[in-house]
Amino acid sequence: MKRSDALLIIIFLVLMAAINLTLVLTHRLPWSGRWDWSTFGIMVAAAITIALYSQLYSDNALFRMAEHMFVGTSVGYGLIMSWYVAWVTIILNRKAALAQGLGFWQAIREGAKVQQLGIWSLVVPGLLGLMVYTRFSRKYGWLSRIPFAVMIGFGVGYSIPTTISANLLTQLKPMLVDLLHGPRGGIYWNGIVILIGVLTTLLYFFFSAEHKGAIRTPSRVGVWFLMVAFGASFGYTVMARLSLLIGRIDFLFREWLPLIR
Amino acid sequence: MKRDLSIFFNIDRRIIFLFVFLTILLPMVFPFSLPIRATKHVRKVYEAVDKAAAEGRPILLAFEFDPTARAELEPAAVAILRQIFASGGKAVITGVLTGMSLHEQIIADCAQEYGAVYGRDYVYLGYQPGGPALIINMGQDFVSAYPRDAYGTDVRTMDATRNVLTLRDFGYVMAFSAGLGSILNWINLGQGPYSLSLGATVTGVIAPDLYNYLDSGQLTGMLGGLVGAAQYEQLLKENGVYLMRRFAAPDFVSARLPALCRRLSATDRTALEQFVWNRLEAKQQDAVRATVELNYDQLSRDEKRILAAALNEALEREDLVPATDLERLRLTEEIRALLQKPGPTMQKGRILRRLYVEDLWGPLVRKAHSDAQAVRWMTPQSVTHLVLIAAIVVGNACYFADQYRHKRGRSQTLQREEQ
Repeated sequence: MKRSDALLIIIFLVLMAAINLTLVLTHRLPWSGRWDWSTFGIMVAAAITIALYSQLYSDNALFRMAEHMFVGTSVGYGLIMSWYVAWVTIILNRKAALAQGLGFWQAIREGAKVQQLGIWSLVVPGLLGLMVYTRFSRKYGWLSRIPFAVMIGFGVGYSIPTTISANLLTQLKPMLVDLLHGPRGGIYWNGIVILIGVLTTLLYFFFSAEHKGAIRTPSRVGVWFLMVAFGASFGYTVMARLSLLIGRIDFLFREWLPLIR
Repeated sequence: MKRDLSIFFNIDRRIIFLFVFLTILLPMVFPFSLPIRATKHVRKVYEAVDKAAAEGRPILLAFEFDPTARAELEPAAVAILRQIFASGGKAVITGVLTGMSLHEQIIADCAQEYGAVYGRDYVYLGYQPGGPALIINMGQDFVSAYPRDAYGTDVRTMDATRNVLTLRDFGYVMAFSAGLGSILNWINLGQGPYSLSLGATVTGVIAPDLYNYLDSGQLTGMLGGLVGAAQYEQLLKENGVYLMRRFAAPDFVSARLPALCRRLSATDRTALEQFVWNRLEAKQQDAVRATVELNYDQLSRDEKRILAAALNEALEREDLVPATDLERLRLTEEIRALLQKPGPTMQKGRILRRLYVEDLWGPLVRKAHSDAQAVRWMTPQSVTHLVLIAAIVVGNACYFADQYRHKRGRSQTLQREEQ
């Protein structure tokens, strides 16, 4: 780490400590007198938010530190939670094992009973799950292909009929309606727009013939439909990103610095 | 002219960031409201939730989001939970691995606001591994997918989940999705095979991809991003759901607590205040007094919760507020109309008692309740959108003006060369 980076981080931490101390001493941040994890959480969240947004000015050590902390924390949290929920709670049924002083196999049996499953219904998927970790070994790495094959086989087998049904057949319904008699009476204009949109867009993606002559104009219309769709999508994306920014600004200026009431 | 236009093409991005930051911050510091009207798709979700609650059928809320999508999905989650609890419905909630703490906090706060009881009015099932396979499992046998709730209680022993055998037993299913994959799983594996009445609350990024599912009827309604949540909050306001809120601890934390404590420790307490005061233990009463005397907060978070719970309990008691006091309340025309409106979400007595407390303790209590988060956030959002639209229009005008100028310059040069 460069000396300037270390200096930046130290100055930032000192500044944050000074601001937080002032906020607590002036009772702008609630502190219950004891070790208040909730308020401490607000302080840490505020510091990390500022550190991450500092990247908007330019790339810096504060941003990189916060980014690495986020990656490390989320991976660690995910790992521990999945271990705890899947293995300790569901498969090993730790609660019952501790309460009744059960051994390893007995705990698994108890877990299966809670899940209303046969013991093999837990052991086989459990073993398959463990096989995924053989990826870390060069010698036994091939074993990891077995659980992946099972997952892919199941996923493809189950999803093909449901996807065709939900994303193709049912999706055709709004297009195959009586265009002259809409739901509110009269011509069904929305249906006409949908029909034109679907046909012209499909035509645009028809590459077996050059887009000339009779195909040219409809394929152009298809491009316009695509552009409108991209525009709507981009507009929603801008709105979504602004919402996240508003959430953070609201947090900083309402919960941490009580400037907004 | 050339120099003037070049300014627009070479703006430092940091100036744009600062500009966006200010357009968000200023409407927050100097708030004003803009009209919000619920769309057809949002209204349909509201009606579906109300219908399921009125029929007494549980509503499944699949909270498939974590803190990264909090700003967009939390307001909608809070709004729907408030509606369910206010209308006496039952909520069954599932979670994802990295969002469980957030979900528990949201659920606990909403339940406290409306006095919902765990097990009877709502159940939190937490996370179960499986992803898409879990939806299939829930559709075939719900109890084998979630035999126990997040705290280890058998789902067959709780009122909210006792009669749920498959996904079909839910009156309505609402998926809160931060990613397109999870909502498509619900459509493909849940709605299709089991003919569920399914709604979606999604982030703005994926909302445009779901309109075709609304047209086909696979989704009954949708709340897309923050604007969807704001529209839903507007519906809650129109139907008086906020007036049925009780006094929850999180509001007390941000409220001016010392003044409330002053009322409680005063000698001329009303019956309602006396009831609350009697519910506090001696050391909690000391903390209330100390908060008044020292003029700052001496109550711990737990003590605030106890105080809020006591006040909530008081609002449930009809005998604590004299009927004559309730009659004397000055009600606005809007509230009068609301109280006369029939419907499953109305609980007239509780609304009146709440208004009585607001009248008793003045603007202090009203201020403590931030009714609609998304509505509040929509003002900066709308202002920023307008500014961005203006910037895009100006930017495009400058671009075309620049192009025209170049074209004209080139043709003039050619003419000169020809001459």
